[in-house]
Amino acid sequence: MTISETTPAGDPLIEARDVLARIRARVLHQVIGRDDVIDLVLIALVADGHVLLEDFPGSGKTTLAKALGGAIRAPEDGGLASFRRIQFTPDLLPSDVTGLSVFDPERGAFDFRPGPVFTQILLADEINRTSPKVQAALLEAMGEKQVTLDNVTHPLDRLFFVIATQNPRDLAGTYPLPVAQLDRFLFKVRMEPIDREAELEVLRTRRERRDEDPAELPPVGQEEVLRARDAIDANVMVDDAIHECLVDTAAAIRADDRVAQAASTRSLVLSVPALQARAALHGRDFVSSEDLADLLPWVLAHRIEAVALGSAEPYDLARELMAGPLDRLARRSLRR
Amino acid sequence: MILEALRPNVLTSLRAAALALAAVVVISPLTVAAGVVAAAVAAFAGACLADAYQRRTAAGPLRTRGAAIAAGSIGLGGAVLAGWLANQPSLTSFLGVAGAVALIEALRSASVIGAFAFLLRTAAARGQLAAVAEVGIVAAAVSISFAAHRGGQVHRPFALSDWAWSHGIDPALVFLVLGVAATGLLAALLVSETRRYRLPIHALAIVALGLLVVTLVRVSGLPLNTPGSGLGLTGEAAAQPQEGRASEGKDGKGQRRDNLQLDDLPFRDDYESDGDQAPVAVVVLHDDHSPPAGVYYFRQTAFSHYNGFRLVESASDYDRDVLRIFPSQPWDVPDAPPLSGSRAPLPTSFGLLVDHVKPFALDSPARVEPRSVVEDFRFQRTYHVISHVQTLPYVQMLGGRAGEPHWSAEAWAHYTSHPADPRYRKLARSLVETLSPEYQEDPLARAMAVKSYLDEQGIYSLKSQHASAEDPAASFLFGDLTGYCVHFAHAATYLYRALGLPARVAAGYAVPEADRAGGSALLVRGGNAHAWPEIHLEGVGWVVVDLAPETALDGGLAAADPELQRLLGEMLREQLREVPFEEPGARWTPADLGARVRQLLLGLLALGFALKWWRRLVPWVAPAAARPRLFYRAALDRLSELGERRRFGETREAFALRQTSRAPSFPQLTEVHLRAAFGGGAGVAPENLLDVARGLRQELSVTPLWRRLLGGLDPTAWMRSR
Repeated sequence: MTISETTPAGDPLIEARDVLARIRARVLHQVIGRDDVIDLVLIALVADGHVLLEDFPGSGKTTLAKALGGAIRAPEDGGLASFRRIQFTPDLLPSDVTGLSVFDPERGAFDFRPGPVFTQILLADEINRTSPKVQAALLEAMGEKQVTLDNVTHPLDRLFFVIATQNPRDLAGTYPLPVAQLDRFLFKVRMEPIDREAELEVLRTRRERRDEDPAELPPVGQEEVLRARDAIDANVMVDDAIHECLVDTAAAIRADDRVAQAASTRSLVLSVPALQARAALHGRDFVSSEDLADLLPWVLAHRIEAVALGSAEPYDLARELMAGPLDRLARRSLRR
Repeated sequence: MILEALRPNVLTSLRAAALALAAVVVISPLTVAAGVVAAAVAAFAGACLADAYQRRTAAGPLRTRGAAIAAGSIGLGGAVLAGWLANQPSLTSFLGVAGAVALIEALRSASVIGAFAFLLRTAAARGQLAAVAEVGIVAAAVSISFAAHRGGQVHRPFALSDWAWSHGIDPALVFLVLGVAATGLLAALLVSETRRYRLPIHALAIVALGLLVVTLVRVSGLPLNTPGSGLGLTGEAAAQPQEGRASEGKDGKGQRRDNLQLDDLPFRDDYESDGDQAPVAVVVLHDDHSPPAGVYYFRQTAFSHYNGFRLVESASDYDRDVLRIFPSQPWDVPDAPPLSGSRAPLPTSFGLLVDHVKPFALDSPARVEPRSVVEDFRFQRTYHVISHVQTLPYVQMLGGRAGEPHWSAEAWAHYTSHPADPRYRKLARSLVETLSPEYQEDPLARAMAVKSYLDEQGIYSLKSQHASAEDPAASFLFGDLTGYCVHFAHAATYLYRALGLPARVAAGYAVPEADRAGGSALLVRGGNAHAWPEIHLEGVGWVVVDLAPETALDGGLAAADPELQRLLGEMLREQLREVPFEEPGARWTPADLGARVRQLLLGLLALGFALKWWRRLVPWVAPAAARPRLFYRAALDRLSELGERRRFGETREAFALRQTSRAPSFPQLTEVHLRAAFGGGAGVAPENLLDVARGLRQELSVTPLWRRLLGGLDPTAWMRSR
């Protein structure tokens, strides 16, 4: 008995799931051995959040972002690229990201030249290598979904989705993102090295994967993604017990001695669509404890500022502290 | 972190301590103190060694077998060595006998017990069945020691009970403490047990141990010899057939007497005096009182009905001032002598150390209040009596009249009938004639004339030869005048009656005033048992006119140990202070408490099973909306019985995933349940829910039978399903 058997056909949720499955299949075709990260990125995409990947160079971040961009067709009219990449360097200027006004002598007026943020999927590579000013420009664009230049507001694409990366090791000459800026990312994902089989598979299939557009997997239209987003928001049920568990978890983390600063209320609000997206991705029309257990550490970990460095890995801390609220949630399900 | 590191050590120590405790309890009746200590140390060390060995070397079966063989040979070798040493005279000469015995015993028990503990632990660490045996052995060792104390018989193990007695502690208390310690150890093991399959076993062992403790332990009273009182005053004495009666039965008289159903005082040729010193009761006088006769008479019963052969207890119409039963409520004695110039009220408290058939009280009781009607820690019974004691000296009672004016002719006849033998009247008359003329009609003076005759002529002896006579009293009175109190009391009573004085024989305890030694407590001992004659005077009631033979072949009872008397008196006071005025039966004794605990445990057990089956069966009849939750809960209960429980913080889905191999239907059921719980009202039970539930039951029935049986017997599994 699965969801498809119990839910009536023509359900918008099934269509949404279908869209997600198609994107997923396309990305999976390109990226091997990163199923869990792909799921997180997909969830963030649907939940209208952004993702920060922590990884070493050459671990497939760009491939992943490009594959995602390739899986979503840009709207015909806008002339936008579906995928852009910014390689951050210390000498980058904010206008290199957002775009700039150029004086057009023929018209005698300023013309707006859109920067790389005017796209669907943006890969912000090594975001901690650039100056805080540039970081702020990007993060504002991420938060507001618009760029303001010379008092003129330029809206970004409705699907604007950022995959930022940073290298957790090579920290010399970097500008680490402060917690407040990290808060703009829905997930911070630390990518572990892929396993041996997957790595072998990468080597074996490099030729096929170079054919970028597998004919049997057509890209998904932007409108479809947006529709799926709405369908999931409207149709995946979030029980009040789930809300309570979210709030209890945040409270438990804030109350812990090892934590100096913890998840904001905003982050809890942001996490609800992510939970819904994960439920939908797993074929459910309701958010369950499994979604919480799986997603919440990714949502909360990078928002936790530990009292002492190295006292505890935030991800493990979040997992440990959410055990109590999760247990209450499980027991509560038996009581009514 | 530190706790985690310590955990194995703590567990090992707990196990080892449990084994050491069991070893002490088992070995203590068998060996000397040194052997007990050595056994305890060896058991502890053996268990620790076994655990350390198991942990350090990932020992394969071969190495384990080798270690086991080594341990076995050490145990055997130690025993053989001890046996060899026992035959070495040089050892004895070197260490002395006591030292040699201690050494040999220590060596023997240490090697045997140590090896046994090592083997047991090693086996328990490797096999499930042996782990059960381990818990079982500890539990059995402790419970056996309790079983030896069934009914308050404190005699084993000697080392512990003797020690307790010599320190003034009730041994039962010591064993209770040991039992609690063992139970606590097992409980600690249970709590820290990491292997789930052992949990129900340990739980059962603890429950069994608790039940055994409750069932078998009776807190005992003081260890007392059963007093050999020949007067049938105590419960035990009355229950046993008596020698005197048996001999009477031979000459055909016993048969008729048996039909009367009334007790009399047996005449015996050889009065047993074994239990003379044994305390039977302690009395506390709450006011100062010096009896005119110099003796406190505690009357228990009276014999006034002459049935043609002897005096027996009369039916209820007469002697109503005698206490016939232990009252359960405060009770005013009918026919109690009035308070006049001759009598004064005296409150007294009684603590019985030996069971008695009837209460006894200082002459003459007017009101009896029970204090405790059931056995408690020290005293079999305690009660409180207000007696109207005689204060008037005998001289001042001269000039009174016998009997009461309102007595009917039957009453007079009842109290004055005596054997038809004319010699009584003749002797009595001749005695009265010695009195000066003004006293010849005075009842008390006449009684005194009889008394002084018997005092002068009678010989007090515990050995006599009248019991087989037709009328033992006549045989005594007109024969050698040799006998003990029963003979004297009967002879005097018949003589009083021959003079027309209402008289009776009373029995109970007589304690000389000197025994009080100035204190307020009076120790009544078996040797104080006594029978005496009484006459009735108008307005005074029954007056003791006891005899004091001047010639005695047997010595009187030595005074009681004043320390013991004072101590027991203090204990009685203490007891009465603790429960000053309570309703009878309200006090909980240990036995009572045990019964309640047993009831409570049984009740809880029944409740546990009832709830367990309710939770299992209710989903089948529940409304459809509640079914997913109830079926899921029932499935959780079933898994819990098999020892599978959701861990803390584990989601239901993760738990379901963990159970997939055991119960493939369980994840499905979990999903149905979660949909109902978190999916809002949309969670209607699908049609195949019943099939899923049945499927799950089928899947779980593959589990080994013993595991399922164990789970089925566990009334608490459902409490732990999460």
